[in-house]
Amino acid sequence: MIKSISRRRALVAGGATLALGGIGWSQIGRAYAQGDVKDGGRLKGVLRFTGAAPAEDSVSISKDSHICGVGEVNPNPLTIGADGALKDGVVALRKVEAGKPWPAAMTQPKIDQKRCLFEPFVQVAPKGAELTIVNHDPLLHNIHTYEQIGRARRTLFNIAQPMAGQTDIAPLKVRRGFVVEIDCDAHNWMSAWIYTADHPYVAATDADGLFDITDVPPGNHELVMWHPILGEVTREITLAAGETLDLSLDMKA
Amino acid sequence: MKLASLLFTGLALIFAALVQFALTKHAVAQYVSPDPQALAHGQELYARECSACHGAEGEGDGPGAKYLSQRPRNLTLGVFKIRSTPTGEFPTAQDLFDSITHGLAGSNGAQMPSFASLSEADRWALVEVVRTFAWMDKEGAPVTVPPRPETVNLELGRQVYERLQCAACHGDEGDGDGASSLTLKDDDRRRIFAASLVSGSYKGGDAPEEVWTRFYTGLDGSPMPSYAGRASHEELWALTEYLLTLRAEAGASQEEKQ
Ligand code: HEC
Ligand code: HEC
Repeated sequence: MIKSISRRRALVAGGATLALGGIGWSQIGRAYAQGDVKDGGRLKGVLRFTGAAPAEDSVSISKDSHICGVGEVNPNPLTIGADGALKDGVVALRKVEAGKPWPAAMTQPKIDQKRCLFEPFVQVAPKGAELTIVNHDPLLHNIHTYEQIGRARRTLFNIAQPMAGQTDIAPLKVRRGFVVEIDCDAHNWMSAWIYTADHPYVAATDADGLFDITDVPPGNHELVMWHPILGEVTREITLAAGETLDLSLDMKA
Repeated sequence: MKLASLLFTGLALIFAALVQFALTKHAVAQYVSPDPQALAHGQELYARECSACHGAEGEGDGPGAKYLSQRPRNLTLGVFKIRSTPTGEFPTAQDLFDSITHGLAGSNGAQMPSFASLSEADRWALVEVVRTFAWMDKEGAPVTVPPRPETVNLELGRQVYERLQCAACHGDEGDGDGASSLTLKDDDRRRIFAASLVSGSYKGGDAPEEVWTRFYTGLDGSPMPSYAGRASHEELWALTEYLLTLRAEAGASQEEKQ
């Protein structure tokens, strides 16, 4: 439904946009060129949380207890495993202009609403990807996505799903930022995140804090670490042809 | 001669490189108005009529902004509540023109004044300014409002209101006091309440087609979601009639009291 009516009429005379380098907002930056990667390297390792844990946020489940349960939840939990392993972190390269094609599995992001919680909490997706949204609960959820731009946020879309089994597909039309925040206005403790990228050199860490990014074009890269409540940290890395870098990365509160 | 032209080409190349750099840095191109004259005129009007609230650069941070409970829209973010287009889409130029003409006054407070006193040409010039701030290089495609049926089925309307759970935010009686209304936030992370459906005015107009369009496309930038495709045309029209009656009845009992 939402998808089929997303066609847009061009409003600007082609000449005017061309004069500015031919970039409309819908084609932000330079397009990523997909192809073979020669002498690709590999970035793998573990992301850890170090230091004192920040104060826990807690929201009481104040309605729809027959489905949502009772008690308190932390909408944005810091999930730390053995040895400080940080789950739900994202490791990404900031800018890659040419590289491997997007693996099909990464191009179909999906989010489920079950017992008034989103699943998964953090995932990665291409900018502009079509997000599949499923409501499994027999009550109203409204999936409300926002693009974060600095401290501001802008609604990307907001769709009501009043019935169980409802499925929608809607695009993540991120303009300038990377982080997509998701909430449900009807249940203020529901929270999820999608880190969007122009290229497939991006991964969410698992319960052991592990990530593995392959076929990386050799050279200097800016490496980004991100987590919903810890924010963003960047550092420079250099990858030689065919090299495997085994990284131990840290994030603090 | 030759040297001069070489120098000129060199400068032109450097300039082009700078523009390219600026573009990739900001990652997005500024929208270019198809009518530069209207835009220039609009910018003068904007400085005089709008910047006190919306800020010189359209970022919603003018000196008057702090006196308003809802923040004047940060126009550079390109998100608009009053749209005839699906959620996530840009509004049409006509939508922007209508918002400037009528302002936005709802139960969350009368905040965006009407500019109906300006000439039509002036208001269209202001649309150009808004589109430029918002990098709005395209218009959204409007949804089609199905024709209003002649028969009114209020009981069906009430059932649809229940089934679509409007009450979660708007409350059983439409007073805007649903269980979720207490925890709503807008894009600026400010408190916002579900609109009262019985009193106060609608931000997007009172015409039946306008009310239909509001819940069909949602009010982007607020928690009000889009209900596109969530019920049949017949049901959504019955819901609209129900909403219109809620207000008419509340209005009538208000008058009786006076
Ligand atoms: C007194 C302060 C004030 C002035 C003056 C003002 N605005 Fe606004 N404007 C607001 C507020 C507050 C909102 C947000 C209303 C809301 O969210 O309901 C807004 C919202 C808007 C919107 C967004 C409408 C939508 O659908 O979301 C546009 C466009 C806009 N204003 C344009 C203008 C223009 C053009 C002018 C000058 C002609 C102007 N405004 C003057 C306060 C003002
Ligand atoms: C998640 C909470 C939520 C739900 C569910 C919801 N609304 Fe709203 N609605 C809001 C909020 C918040 C506003 C006020 C937006 C504003 O003032 O910017 C609003 C505003 C409105 C308006 C006023 C539009 C205008 O022009 O001012 C109408 C009409 C409306 N809603 C109808 C409905 C109907 C019908 C349903 C069910 C099909 C519904 N809403 C469900 C939160 C909700």
